[in-house]
Amino acid sequence: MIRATWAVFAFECRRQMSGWRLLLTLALASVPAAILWLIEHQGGRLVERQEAWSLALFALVPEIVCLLGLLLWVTPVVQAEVEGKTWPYLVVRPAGKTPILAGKYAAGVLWSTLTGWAALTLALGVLWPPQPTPHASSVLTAEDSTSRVSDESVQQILHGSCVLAALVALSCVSYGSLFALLGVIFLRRGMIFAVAYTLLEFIVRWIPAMIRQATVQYHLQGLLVHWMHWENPRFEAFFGKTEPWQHVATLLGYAVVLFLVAAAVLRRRELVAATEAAP
Amino acid sequence: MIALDHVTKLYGPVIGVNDITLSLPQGAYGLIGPNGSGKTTLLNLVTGQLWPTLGKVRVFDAGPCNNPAVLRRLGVCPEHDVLYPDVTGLEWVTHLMRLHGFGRREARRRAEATLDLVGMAHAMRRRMGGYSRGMRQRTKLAQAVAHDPELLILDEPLNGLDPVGRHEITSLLVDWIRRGRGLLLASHMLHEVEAVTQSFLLICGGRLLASGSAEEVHTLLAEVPNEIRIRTSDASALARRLVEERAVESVRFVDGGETLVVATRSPTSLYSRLPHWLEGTGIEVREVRSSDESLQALFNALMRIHRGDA
Repeated sequence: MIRATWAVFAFECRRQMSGWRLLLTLALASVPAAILWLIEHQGGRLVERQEAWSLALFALVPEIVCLLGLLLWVTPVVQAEVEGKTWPYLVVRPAGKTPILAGKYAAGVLWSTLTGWAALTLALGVLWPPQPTPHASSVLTAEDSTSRVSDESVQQILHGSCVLAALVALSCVSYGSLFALLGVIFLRRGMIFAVAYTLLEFIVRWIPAMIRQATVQYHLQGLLVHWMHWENPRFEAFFGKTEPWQHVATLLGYAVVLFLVAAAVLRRRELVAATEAAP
Repeated sequence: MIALDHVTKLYGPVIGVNDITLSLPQGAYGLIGPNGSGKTTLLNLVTGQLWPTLGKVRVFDAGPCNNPAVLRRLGVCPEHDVLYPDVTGLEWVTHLMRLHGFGRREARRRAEATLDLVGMAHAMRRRMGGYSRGMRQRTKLAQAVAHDPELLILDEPLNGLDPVGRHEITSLLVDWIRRGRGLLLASHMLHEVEAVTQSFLLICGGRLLASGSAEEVHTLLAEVPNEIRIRTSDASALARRLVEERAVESVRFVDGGETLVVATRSPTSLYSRLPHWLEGTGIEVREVRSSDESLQALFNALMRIHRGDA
């Protein structure tokens, strides 16, 4: 099982390394940097406020870039094989359907995560070099403020980028399972349902009720607030006293459970190419 | 080897396979039927890709669905030859062997050896996007036999092959049978199957219409009119001659009267005697063709026999 999963993963990674895929990845990864550059160009001064750029990057990378990547590379993993009529060659192997799904899921999640990290790196490039914050520069003397405050800003950016990088990985792993499940259930309309679910979740996360705690977004935002050390009563009211490890455990739990459900659904599904569906 | 017990497969309101019962001991069998007759559905049931709506499918005394023990003993070559365009034949077959549980080196060794066996040694390191249809068929066959299965299931394996390729693959299959391995070969061409095995299963409309040896099937088919299209310079004169000779069951004109469609119970005799009948008549025959439609006509007639209408 593990050997077959690894074989599928390695094969998919090799197969996906095409010029077209790299171009698409680069285009997707450039979007946050382009948006940040436009904001900065319009005098947004995002870089001076850690909370502002962190939230902007959170919205752009783990939410938009990663989800778009997963939509492209995880949701259609089974559908692409069925439509491409290559599914029958894979499914008649003793390894079964689960390693196929697992290997393809892992490859899609890895690729989406790498795209997210690339997007983060490019976006941070726009924010570089760090500027002294207005608060700090008003406290320090003009002479030594630049170097000391720059150090502080550098640390903030490095810390923020580490947090966002971790959130990118968690977002890809958990949403990846969800999208894989939707792709397996709604074979031909998987991407539409995935987009619909994402939009629904974006609305639900703002509803002050228990239901929002079931969303992936809620836990990602909770981790962002915790790991960024944002002390704000509004955040506490919104996220309660949930510890970071609980958020992480919930997200990983989602990933495992949703993947197992997807594997179980796939195991029970009869998938033949469209032309074979009826004699 | 394969046992089907009152197996029916429904796709919603459409019947894919209709109440088929059969038991096939170890050996080689040809599954013959016109396009859309239910051959592929039957093969998908045997390979565990589909579950029967009614009845039971047993392969090597076990259900094939999600059963690694059965799948390990099967080699399957589906009809579709749409393969990954950016992957080489060697990479693909190696990958599929790895899904059979072989280590990287062993998978590659088997892939190389089998691709060589099917005549793909020269092209195995090329991307499959550049393969001709015949090369894809050979690669497909390689992935089906590389793990040395006990039962090989092939769906239209000779499609797209040139005569030399057909001969080579047919020889390979004959050799496979000689080694005591099982074979289930689906085709809509009787002569293709006949070149490989003498045991047939005739399927049409999802029903198993007949089974038996080549001789038995020919006897059965001899009772059924075979449709032949003859394009000629003088269709009405030729029709008159054929009717006078009592060589045909029915005659009709198509393509503005240029082509004659005749139904005969003895096509071989008609083919051999046609030149003699034309001697001195000045009638010029431009084309004689027994199309797939004629096979459909044969199966339609078999369906009537099956229902008791004929």
